[in-house]
This record gives sequence, structure tokens and C-alpha cells, in this order.
Amino acid sequence: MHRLLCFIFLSLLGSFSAVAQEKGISGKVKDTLNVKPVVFASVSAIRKSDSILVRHTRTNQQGSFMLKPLQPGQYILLVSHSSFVDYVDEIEVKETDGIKPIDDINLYQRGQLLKEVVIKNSASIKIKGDTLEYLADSFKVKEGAMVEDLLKVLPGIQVNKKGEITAMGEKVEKVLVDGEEFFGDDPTVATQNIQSKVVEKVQVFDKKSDQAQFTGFDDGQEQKTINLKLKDNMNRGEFGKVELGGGWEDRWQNQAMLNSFKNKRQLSIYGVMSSNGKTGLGWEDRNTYTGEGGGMSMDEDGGFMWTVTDDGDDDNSRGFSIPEGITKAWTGGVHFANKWKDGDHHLNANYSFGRINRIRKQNSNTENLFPGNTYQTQDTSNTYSSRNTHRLTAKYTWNIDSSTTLIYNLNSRLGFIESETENSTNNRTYEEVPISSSVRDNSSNSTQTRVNNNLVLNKKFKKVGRTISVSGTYNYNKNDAEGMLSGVNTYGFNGSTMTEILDQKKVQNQLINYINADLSYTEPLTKKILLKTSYAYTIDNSLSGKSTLVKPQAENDYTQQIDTLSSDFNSSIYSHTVGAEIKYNEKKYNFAIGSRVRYSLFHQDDLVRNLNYDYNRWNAFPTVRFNYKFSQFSRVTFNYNGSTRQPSITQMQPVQDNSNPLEIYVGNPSLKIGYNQNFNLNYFSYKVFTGRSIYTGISFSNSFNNIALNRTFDPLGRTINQYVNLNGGYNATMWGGIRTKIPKTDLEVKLDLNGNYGHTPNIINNQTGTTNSYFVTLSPGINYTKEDLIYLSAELKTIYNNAVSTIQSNRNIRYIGLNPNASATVYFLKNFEAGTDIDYQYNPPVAPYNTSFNRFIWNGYVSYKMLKGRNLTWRAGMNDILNQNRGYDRTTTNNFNTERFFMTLGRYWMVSAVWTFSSGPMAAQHQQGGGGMRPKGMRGGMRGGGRRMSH
Amino acid sequence: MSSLRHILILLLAIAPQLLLAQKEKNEIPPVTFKGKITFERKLNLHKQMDEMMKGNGGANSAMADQLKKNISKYKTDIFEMYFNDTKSLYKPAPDGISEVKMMMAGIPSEKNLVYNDFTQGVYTSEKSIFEKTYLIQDSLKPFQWKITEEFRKIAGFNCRRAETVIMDSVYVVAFYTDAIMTNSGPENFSGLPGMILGIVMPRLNLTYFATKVENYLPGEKDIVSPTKGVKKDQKELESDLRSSMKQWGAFLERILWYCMI
Repeated sequence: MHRLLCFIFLSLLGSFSAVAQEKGISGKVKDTLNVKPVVFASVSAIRKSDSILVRHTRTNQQGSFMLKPLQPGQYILLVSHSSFVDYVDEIEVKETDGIKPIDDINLYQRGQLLKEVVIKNSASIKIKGDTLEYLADSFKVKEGAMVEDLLKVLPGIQVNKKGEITAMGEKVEKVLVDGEEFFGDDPTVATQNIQSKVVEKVQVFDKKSDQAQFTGFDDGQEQKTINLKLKDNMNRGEFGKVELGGGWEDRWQNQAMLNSFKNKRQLSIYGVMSSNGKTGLGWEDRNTYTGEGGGMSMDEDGGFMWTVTDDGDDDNSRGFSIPEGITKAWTGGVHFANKWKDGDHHLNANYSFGRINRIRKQNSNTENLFPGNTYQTQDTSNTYSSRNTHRLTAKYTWNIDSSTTLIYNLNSRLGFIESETENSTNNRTYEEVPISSSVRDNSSNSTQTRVNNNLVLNKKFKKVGRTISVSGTYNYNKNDAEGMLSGVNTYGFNGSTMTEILDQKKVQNQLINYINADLSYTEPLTKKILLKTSYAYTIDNSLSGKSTLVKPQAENDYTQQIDTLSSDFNSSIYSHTVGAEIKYNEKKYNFAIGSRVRYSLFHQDDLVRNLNYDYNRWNAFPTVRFNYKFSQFSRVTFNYNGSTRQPSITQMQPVQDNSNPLEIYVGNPSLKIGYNQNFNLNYFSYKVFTGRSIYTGISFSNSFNNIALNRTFDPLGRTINQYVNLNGGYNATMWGGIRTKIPKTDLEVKLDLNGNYGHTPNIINNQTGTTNSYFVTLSPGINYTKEDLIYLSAELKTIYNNAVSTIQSNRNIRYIGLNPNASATVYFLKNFEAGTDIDYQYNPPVAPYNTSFNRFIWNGYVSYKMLKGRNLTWRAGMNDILNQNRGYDRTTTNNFNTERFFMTLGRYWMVSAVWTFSSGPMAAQHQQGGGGMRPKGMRGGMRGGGRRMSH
Repeated sequence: MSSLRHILILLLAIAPQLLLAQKEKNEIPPVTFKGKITFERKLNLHKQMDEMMKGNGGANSAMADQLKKNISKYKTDIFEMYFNDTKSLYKPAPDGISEVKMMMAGIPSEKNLVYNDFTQGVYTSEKSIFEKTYLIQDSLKPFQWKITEEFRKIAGFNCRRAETVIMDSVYVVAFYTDAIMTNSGPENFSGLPGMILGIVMPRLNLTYFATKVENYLPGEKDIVSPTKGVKKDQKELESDLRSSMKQWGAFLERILWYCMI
């Protein structure tokens, strides 16, 4: 009927249309499942400022609608239909617009979702623009549940044992609290410490890159992000969690978190004391700091960087299924965020402290494959390390006006590291004839200071896409280390032996000053094409000294410097980098092509040998990106990256490093420039209602003039390493997986398939050969969920390994390894919960690995919740009940096969109490528990749709 | 190891039985174009009395307490609405109006008939106010509805909450469903993208909620415009009531609110 009105109105208007330009919105509503138009959906334009309904209509038989007339202004567009999930988005009608056509609106069927969750009202899952929003109270969780438990019951979200979150089949990189980054990058701080009842909404979206947000040009680079929107009355109040736990043999885990939120002000304090490997906060900012061996190396851009040996991996529970060593940690931090003057000034600051003591013990057997000369190495090492780290990060954003923003970023760290390593290495032939051996004791004490400052001024111009941004960076990095090396090296040769006694003091000092000025400008060439140009000037100065001191006489102090083992460099790199990139942006797809070119002038003074080097370098870094979006939850991406690889100074002119006297490095001044490239193709799709996700991808990389190590075996049993150019290597990786719910059951099945093929040329004793290796991993799995009753999951991971080296073609390592695992959680007697999980690993014996490896790890716990709000939980659990846990891994590379055993935390039990609390207005909500009522105080009318988060 | 195996076997044995437990079905009505809705109107007489007394200076609260004992807390009336995609008729159900044995209590215009014609954008309403009968003819009222994100289930329909203020003084909460195509509602409330199944007016202690929605094909006779009464438009009604009820003094505004809805 309304359509009829519309029609009359339209036909009346038609005759006047030339006179007055009428403003409005037209569009089409589609059903994503059946790709059909949605007929009779209600479409409403709601004024954003006061939520007043301005105009509404229904879609016609074609799914089309026309909303008019509309005054210029901001509107919320609400599309609803009883069979579909509500769609909400923000729309602006401009003075200059006529009838503005908008993108097709895709609705998701509600019926399927209803089967999976008990929906209390139709707003429990909603799509707002490109954000999928869950109303937390509509989903049933146990009283006293944490956010992690809530995420587990949200359709489309999975949380694994390690606390890693997958949403719509993609890994979640960030968890924000009320739009704020919370204690850096570790999502588990938020998910495991915030009670689910304080959360009003869980919003899932793809966070666009800062650059895309700034220029308004989608570059397809997105991070899956979850924002936990807290309940309104959480603006005033405190909430938190205290956990105390202990067991025998010095096992404890205590943890506390207190949050105090007031309006825009967030203040949180967090602390962990543990001796079971749980360090809590994501301590190291892995993106900005990597410990890579030591000495000078080249970064991926072909620039140079220096690192100091750092056995860091403070939190090795990530990535590894079994934490290595025994760790005791005392960590804590403060998070503060606030906004002033309507959000124009915004501060997010985090301070954290950590003391992490770790004992690591390992021994390994390595089979070294040299043409005509195979020998074995046995290596044992015990390390004790203690790290004390202070870290302060802050980001201050000042929106000077609507088009200008100034951002200051601080990332600073002060670390004190003590470590001691005892190490012994034995090289022997298979006939048990000793070749060489070494026993060493290495201790070091170091202080690391790092202060990174970055100031960016972003300015947008009136023309959409035209932006300029100026940035300055100053990084100060100082590392001082002092250490002792003592040991005995023995070389056996033709029956006679030679012994070398080491007693040295090592002093290392390094100071890096890095200054960078960057100017970038983007200009829209057309509405769809954006040109980005940039120029950067960098000064990178480094003072790097390393002295090896010995005692002139036994009773003396360490005063005599050994020049061959000492170095003192003063290096400077001045570089100019120019870049250009063209981005093409269509509704469904976008691509970018560009390159950066860098010219570097390198100057180095060798103060020990009174030498200096000067040279200059050209490097290029081309990139291609393509991104196609089939729908919001389905896309394909392609990336190409290339980079020239200049040989580093260490590869051409190395400084002797005798920390392992059996490995000698020799320079090669005639190294040629190399080129590496990588192709990457990815596809992923997720279906909301069936919960089916598919992902698959392939990556191929190869290199020209690759810089590789030529290892030669010298008569003294030492290995001489020299870098040479080598062609023909490539590596291909594929991955894929599918996960789907079985209709009408509570079962979910998945299948993951991964494979890798590597063709690696190598050179040993000046003889070239290749290693071909591949592996395939197949992991079928099944999950069964009966809400509030039982959760079961099982996976059977099977690995097929095959490696052939032409150097030793009789050594074809081929085996099938098994790794089944399962877990179960059962709820019973109202307040009890019990859980258990098993993980079995089997690797068959295959030469050169003589023993089969069997390990069966079984963990279990029982917990009981008490008090009114179920906010006190008692938990008793035992880890590794059968005490079978031992660290083990196998590494097969070009010319050696290593089997390594390492110490891990074995069987222990722990009894703990977890208390969660809240005060202020939250306390009143206790009675309400996890029920489905909508929180009070929500009368503010419809909030703005779309993504409105402060970053 | 063997104990573990037993646990696994046990778990596997339990699983199929758990599988059999079915989840409740959640039926959603399809889009409706025509039918019949039964509304229940509830007036809280006790509260109304309190308000009235307050308006009178609050002197007679002891008397009010005495009176309250003699009347039930609620006056409940039943209305029905027939609708198709172009028009609707809202009227009292046969024997739908209950009696209140008390002066001043209740609703002065308690048995309104409202006929909405959406093709023309007009309504016709028959109102009996005390001894007078009016026939109000005017264009559909332009409500300024504020849309919220709250929902409530009424008569099996998921209804979204909307709010407005009428006569500059009375706050109205409406619950509407877009699963019914006709943009109508009880009394002369309309203008939302669907059927209003619930109205709450706290200041008038008055609620309307649909109790039943039937799929029914209304005949020509079911949806006819009322014809009885003195023809007036809305404005004329208000000025007429104001002039004829001057003597009501403090009560005038309250009575007007009831009369104008």
C-alpha cells in the first residue's frame, strides 16, 4: 500500500522533477543464502542525531526500495525483516545529492542461527555496516564466566586451548576494550580476565590499516578485530579477578587484575606470579624486537641492523605445544586510557614490568652429512637466565581539527639480562673415533635500553584521498654486555690430539642512533585510482665494540686484548628511499602495484685494524597486491613481494667470533647481489548460518643468487663457513581447511591439510647438491557441544615426512608421525565442572633417529563454583598425570638431522581459587546473572550504526 | 592408560543420547497482510486515583485508600482490529468494555472506533465523550517516533520499541512488528513501519497489548468507516472539549489527554 502511495507520489512528482531536485536513497535488499531479492523488508531512515524515524518503506518484488524525500543530513538506515538478521548502517544525504543509489544490502537468514543459539530477542546478532555484533546477554553462559567462555558460545567464533580466537574462520589479531587497545597485543589478557557479564556487545570486524582509514582508500589489508563494548553502567565501577593457586614442589600461579573505568577513563592493573610457565602479559613486542643470533645482519629491506645475542622468548608458550624449560615469572602492568575534549585528545599508555627466570636443559644428537664424511655431534647445554624488563608504551593522538591529526608514539624498554650457559659438544665419527670436542662455560650480564619515538602529522585535504603525512622517528638503542668464557677445546687428528684452553672476558658495547624523516603524499588520480608517493631520508649510526680480553699471566686481571677476536666499528648509513604505488579501488576488488628504491651510502671505520670501508648500494622492493571480496565473509587475496638482497658486511668481511670455536666464518668479497621473491594466494569464505568456513592458500618463493653457506670440514675437525651465491632454490607451501556444522546435530567437523615442498641447493666441501623435502599434514577433527552439559573435541593429526639429500642419497628419511588429541568438559551437579585432555605423539624410529618417540600427555581438573554470583571458583587439577612429558623435536635440514631432547615441566598438581568481583552499579547486576534481560539504561534510542570506534 | 580408555568409552556411550535431545523450535510468523488482532486495554485505577488526588491538592489520600478497597486495581477492556493492506478498523469487541462503578475514574472516551485509510492517508474516528458523540475526520497523525534497539515479544511477534510524546506532555512507548505490512495500531496510533501491538502510556496508567493475532480475511463489512456523530477535525475537537469542560479546572488537561488519544 505504501508502495502505491509512493507510486502516486512519484508519478505526480515526475512532472516537476526538472524543477526541484529531490533527495533520497534507493537500493536493493538481497538474501545472501539464496541470492534472491528480499521482498517486503522494512527499510527505515532514522535521523542520527535524535533517532527519530523520518521515512520508511517496504521493498518491492525486486527487493528494491526508494526512501524519499529526505532532508540533507546523517541517517541510520535500518533494514529489517522477520526472517533475517537486522541490518544497520549509517548513511549521509548531502546537499548535492539527488536520489542516491547505495550498495546492495545483504541480509543473513535468522532461522539457521536460531537453531544454534537461544535467542532472547531479535537483536542478539546484528550486522551493522561491516561489523557483526553480538548482544552478550542474549547468549547463555555459566554464572561467573569470563569473556573467553562467552566467545566460545557465540556462533562463528572459536577459542582453542591456548586461548587463540578464530572468528569467521580467520584468526583474531586484536581484542579491544571499549575501542581501546588493552595491554598491548595479547588478546588473552582481556578474554581471560574480564567477566562476561560486564560486556554488553561483542563486535567483530576487519580493522582496516591506519593508512586505509586515513586516505579512505581500501588497501585490502585488514586485521580481524574483536571489540568488547562494556555495559553503559560500567563507566563507573570496578571489576576484576584474583586467582591464587599452589601445588607441591614449588608450583604456584597467582594472578590479579583490577579494572576501574569511569566514563572514558580506563585504568587497569594486572599482576602474575607463576612457576608453571604462565607469564601472562604478552611481554615482548614481537613486531619491533627480535633476537636474532648476534652481530650484524641485514634486515628484510636490505638495510643493516645490529642485534645483540638474546635468548629471549620470554613467553614460549606461544607457538610451541610444549613450553621449554622451567620458568618462574613475576610480571605486572598498568594500563591507562583517557579522552579529553570530546575525544580530540586521546591517550593510551601501558607500563609493564617482568622478571622471568628460566632454566633450560637440553641435549641433542646431530647427524652431519658431508660428502664422504658423515659424523655425529652430541651437544648438551644447561642455561640459567634471568631477565628484568621494564616497558613503557604510549600513544597520544591529538585531532587538531577535522582534517589534521598529530600522533606521538613512544615505545621504550629497559632490560637487564643475566645468563649462564654450560655447554659441551662432541664430534665423533660413526666408528666412535673422536674428531673434536669442546666444553664451555659462558656467562653474561647485559643492559639494554631502547627508546623509540615517532611523531606523525596527518593532513587530509578537501578532495577525498588527497593526503599528506610527515613523520619523524628517533630511535635510541644502547646495549652493554659483559661476559666470561672459559672452556677447553680438543681436536683429534690422525691419532694425535691438540688442546686449547679458553679463559676470556668479553665486553660488548653498542649504541645505535637512528633518525628517519618521512614524507608521503597521496593523490586521487580518478575516483578509483590513488597514487601514493613517498620519500624518506635515514641516518643510521652505530658504534659497536666487542673486545676479547685475556690474562697476560695467570694471576693478572683480564687486560690483554686479542685483536683477532675484537672489533670496534663506527658505522653510518645514509639512505634515500623513494617509493611510488598505484592503488586501484573497485567496490568488489582492489589492487596495488608499486615499488620502493633505496640508495644507501655506507661508511665504516674499523678502529681496531685502522681500516675503513666505503661503498654504496642500490636496492629495490617491488610489491603487487590484489584483493577480491566476493562478500563480507569471502575473499581472495594475492600478494607479490620482491626484494634485492645485498650481501652484508659480515658475509663479505666477517669478524671472528670464537663463541663456538668449532665453527669458523670466512668472508667472501666477491658475493653478488641476490633477489628474493614471494607469491602468495589466499582464499577464505565463511557462511554465517551454517557456520561453515573454508580457507586455502598457496605460497611460492624462490631466489636468484641466493646467499648460502658453503661448509667445509677442516682437518682439525672444525667447520669453515663461507657465504657463496647459489641458484635454483625454491619453496612451495599450501594450506587449506574446512570446518562445518552438521545440520540438526550439535556436531562440528573439520579437516585441515597442510603441505610443503622445498628444493634447496646446498654446497658442502665445495660440492653442490640438493635436498628435496616435503611433508603433508592431515588433521581431521570433530567437536560436539551440548550447551551447559558437555563439550567434546577430538583431532587426529597425521604427518607424512619425506626428505632426500643428493649428498647422501642413501639417506631417505621417510616416516609417518601421529598426533591424536582430544578434550572433554562436562558440567554436572549444578556447580561442578570437570575437564580432561589428552595429547599423544608418536614418531616411528627411522634412520638416523634410532628410537621411536611416544608421549602421552593427560591433564585433568575438577572445579566447583560457589557464592551467590558463582564468582568464587575452586579448582583442583593435575598436569601430565602420567608424567610422560619430555621435550622432543626433530629437525631435518640440508645436511644435518638433529634430534633434540629438552627439559619441560612434567607432572604437577595445583589447587586454586579464582574470585571475580565487581562493585559500583555492576554489583546490582549480580542478581540478574547471565540471564537474557536487556540491561537497563539503554534508552538512549538507536545508536549510530556502522563502525564507530575510536582508534 | 586403561582407565583412560574406560573414560573415553563412557563418553562415547553418552554422546548419542545427548544428541537425541532436541532444541525447542522458534517459529517466526511470515509477513502478514490481513487479519484480526485482539487488544487488551488495561487501566490502573488505583494509580489513576492517586494521580487524581494529587491534582486535587493531595488532601483526600485517606479517602482514596478507602475507595481503592472497593474497586479492582485494573479496568480491563477488549478491542479488536480488522485490517488488510490498505485499511484498518479498530473497535471495542462485543461486550468488551467493562464498567467502573465510580465517578471520575476510568476513561471518558472509552469506546472509540478508529478507521484508518492508508491510501488516502486519513482516519475517521467515532468518539463518545460523556453524552456527546463526535465523528473525527482528519489526516493520519504525524507522530515523531524515536526508534530504539529494544525488543519485546507480543502475541508471538518480535516487536521493536519506539517512543514519542503526544500533546507535549504524554510519553508513549509503542512496540511494533514489521512482520505485519499494515502500518496501523490501537486507537489512532500509527506511522511506524509495521503494526503496533503494544502501547504504554505511563502518565495515563494505560496500556494496550495485543493478545491474539489471527490470520483472517476481513470481509467488506468488517472494515467500514463509522458514520455516527458530529463531524469535526482534531483541532475542532480539542477546542470544543476545552470550552465545554472549563469547569473541570485542574482535571481538564488529564481528561483531554484521555479524550484525544
